[in-house]
Amino acid sequence: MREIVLQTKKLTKSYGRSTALDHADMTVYKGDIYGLIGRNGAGKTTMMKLVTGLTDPTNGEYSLFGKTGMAADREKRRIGCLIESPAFFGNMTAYQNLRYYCYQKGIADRRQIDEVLELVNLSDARNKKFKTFSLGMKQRLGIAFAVLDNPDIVILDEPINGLDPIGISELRETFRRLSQERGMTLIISSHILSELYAVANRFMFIESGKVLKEVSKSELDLECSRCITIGTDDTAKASNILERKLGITDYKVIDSREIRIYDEKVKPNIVNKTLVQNDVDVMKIHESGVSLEDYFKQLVGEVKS
Amino acid sequence: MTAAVIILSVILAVVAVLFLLEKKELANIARQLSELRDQDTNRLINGENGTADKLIVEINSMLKDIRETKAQYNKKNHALEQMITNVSHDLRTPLTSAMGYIDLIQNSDLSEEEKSRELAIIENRLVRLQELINSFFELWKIISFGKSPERSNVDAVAILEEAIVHYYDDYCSRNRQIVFNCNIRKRMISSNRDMLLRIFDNLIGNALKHGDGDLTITVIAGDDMRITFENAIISQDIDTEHIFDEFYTTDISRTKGNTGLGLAIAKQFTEMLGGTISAAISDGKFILSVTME
Amino acid sequence: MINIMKADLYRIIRTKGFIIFWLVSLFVSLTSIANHEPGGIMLGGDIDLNADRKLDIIQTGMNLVYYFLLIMPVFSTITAEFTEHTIKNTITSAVSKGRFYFAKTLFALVYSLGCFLCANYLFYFINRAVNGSKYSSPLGEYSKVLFGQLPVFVAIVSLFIFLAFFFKKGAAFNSIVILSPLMYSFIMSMLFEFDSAKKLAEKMMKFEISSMIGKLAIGCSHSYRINCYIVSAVITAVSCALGYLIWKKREV
Repeated sequence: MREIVLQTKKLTKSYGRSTALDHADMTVYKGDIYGLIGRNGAGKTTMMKLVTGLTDPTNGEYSLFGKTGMAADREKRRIGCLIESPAFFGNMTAYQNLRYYCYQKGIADRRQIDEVLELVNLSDARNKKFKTFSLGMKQRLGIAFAVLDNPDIVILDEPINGLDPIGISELRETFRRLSQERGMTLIISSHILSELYAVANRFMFIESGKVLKEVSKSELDLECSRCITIGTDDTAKASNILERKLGITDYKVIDSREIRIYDEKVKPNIVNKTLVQNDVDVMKIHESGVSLEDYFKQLVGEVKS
Repeated sequence: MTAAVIILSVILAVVAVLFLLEKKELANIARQLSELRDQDTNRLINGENGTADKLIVEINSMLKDIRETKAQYNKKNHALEQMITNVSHDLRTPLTSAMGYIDLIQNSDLSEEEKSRELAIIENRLVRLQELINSFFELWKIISFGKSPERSNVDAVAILEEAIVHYYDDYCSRNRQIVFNCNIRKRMISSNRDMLLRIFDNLIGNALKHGDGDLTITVIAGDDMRITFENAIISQDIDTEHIFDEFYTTDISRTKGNTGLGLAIAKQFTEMLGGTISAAISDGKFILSVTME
Repeated sequence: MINIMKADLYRIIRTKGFIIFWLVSLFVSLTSIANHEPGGIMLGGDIDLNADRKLDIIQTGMNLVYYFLLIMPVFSTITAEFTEHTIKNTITSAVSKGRFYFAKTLFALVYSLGCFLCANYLFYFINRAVNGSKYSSPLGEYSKVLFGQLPVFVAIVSLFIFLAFFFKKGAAFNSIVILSPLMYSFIMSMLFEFDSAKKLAEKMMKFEISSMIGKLAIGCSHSYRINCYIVSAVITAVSCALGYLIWKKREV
């Protein structure tokens, strides 16, 4: 089992009468790229604010690297984050702003600044003042700040906002590098599922402060990829029939009891009929194939009704 | 007199404060080091007051080196692990299919003619299985040993022609053609025959499986020898940066009948032979180019 | 802690406030040196400007100008963090909320008072060099006067810090801080109009900020000096404690 780096238990935050987050449970494993998905105002930012200590929970608790309470506070240094919009001093340059935070955090090596600027492709804007930055550049400087102190967990709130398509794909690459080369755990929020889908490996759906579902990418794929799943005891015979009688080649034997057909032209009822006619017991057969956004809408719809 | 005493005591106070700060900083470094030892972390040592920055920079660069080594080791391990999981699925598919045919031959009344047809299919499946196992094994060898190949003087053009011959029928049966532009008959290079053949095979095979239309192979012989493989593409979302990664396929969730190893092997082999390989997309054409010294 | 203060120092010398502070302070000092006349701002305090003291001491008596100038360092260290929202960067990674308050307060105090002392000594040494001993007192005497004023400035800066944490918004902080001494004098003069409130007005007059600064410099009774220090100490203690309590309960 992989190490759990961040876990929340029944985390609740209310402002006056309204509840921003309601008994949220979240488990993040080391090395995850964890996607928080929800519409604007669903509680993503509140969740992030709570675990970074920007605000205190009304109820519930969380553990960081297996530690809770005061000990967890000490581990906060291992988190780098960008919450809400990136904020820096307008009259200072990108370099000066990061230098300021190097002093604050006690980072002795100044080369670190250029390293992180390089990482987010801001080396050219190193000596430009922050107030002249475009939204995308601000966003990237925010990410540079988040990874400045070699954190183990990077928490980014809507980092894709305001970026152009090229910027988004560059950022995706940056995320992958951080995760693979530096072994960082990333927690990223967005309201666009397809964007997160491209990078994250675990997802949490959140709506009106409630956690709807926590799924891994393979579970999500299972529910979202277009395929016909056949459950049978005799995969050998079944695959043979699929090929010979139906001419299906685009299939995969998942294990000794399950076959998946990816051919989009194939109809499940025909497959079923053919298999049964040839004495193959079909224990289950179903077609799955909702798009990601439909899946999300379905989830949200379930809560509303 | 009073002035001297005041100045002296100010100096003394400053020295004492500096001394205390430095002592505190050293204790801080020691504490962080002991914390870091039993954590799996990216964290480096941070200063508390800046009196020992040079020491911290040195320790940190050492820590970084150690972590780098560890990360490389893990990466290799991870690649191997991923390969095993992926390959096991891919090995099972032709195997299960072949078993099904064998079952059919054993348990049903088939004419000799039908039987031999079934057997041909089984053979086909087993050949595919063999191919898979071979490429799996080859790549594993590269990953784990990284040995340098034996070299001899070989004719690259002849080897390329040989590879084209391998696939000629496959292309013809799909109404596709291999267009071969080459202005030289012969080109001797110091290389490894088997590996070179494997590279060309993989590239032509890749174009067969994933490409569309005619495959144009062009040899440009200068100081270096450059060979480009050009074909139309079916899928738009090809990630040219990752195309050489192990198990890269355009469809991330499944691998169809591909191992996703072909291009990875081609790249590894090319680099071991001292060449470079790159991929690009322009005007709807997918272009792979191999450069050999 | 020291890290936070180092960072603030790095940033603060790059702000406009830093430049304005020194330009204004130098301008005031140099004009008074050139004219052999003390210059500064007065706010209806009753100080004897024609007292038999040398130029530098009387100039110190008009140090009210630093009340306004010291708004800038406090603004840059604390209020800027709120208006630019950069505070969340610091609180999420470098320090906790409590330590943030402590570090910022300490830095704002040390830095502001440091600036105050530097500016005054700069004036003193330039004046001594240019005008000679006819217009300047010995260093020891000058220092005694300057440090005698220090408690009042500690109280002023603490109050600023409290207000900065309390208001968070730049505009609110600035207007309150700039207007409050004017309001104080205004209320005082209003009270003088009523016979019944005359006593209170006279008391207020005594502890009006420019009078305190002036009298402490130019000369006053021992008991008055003690009273001034008590008032300053109370303001300092209350501002710090109240600021911390309010800050602890606030959402960032």
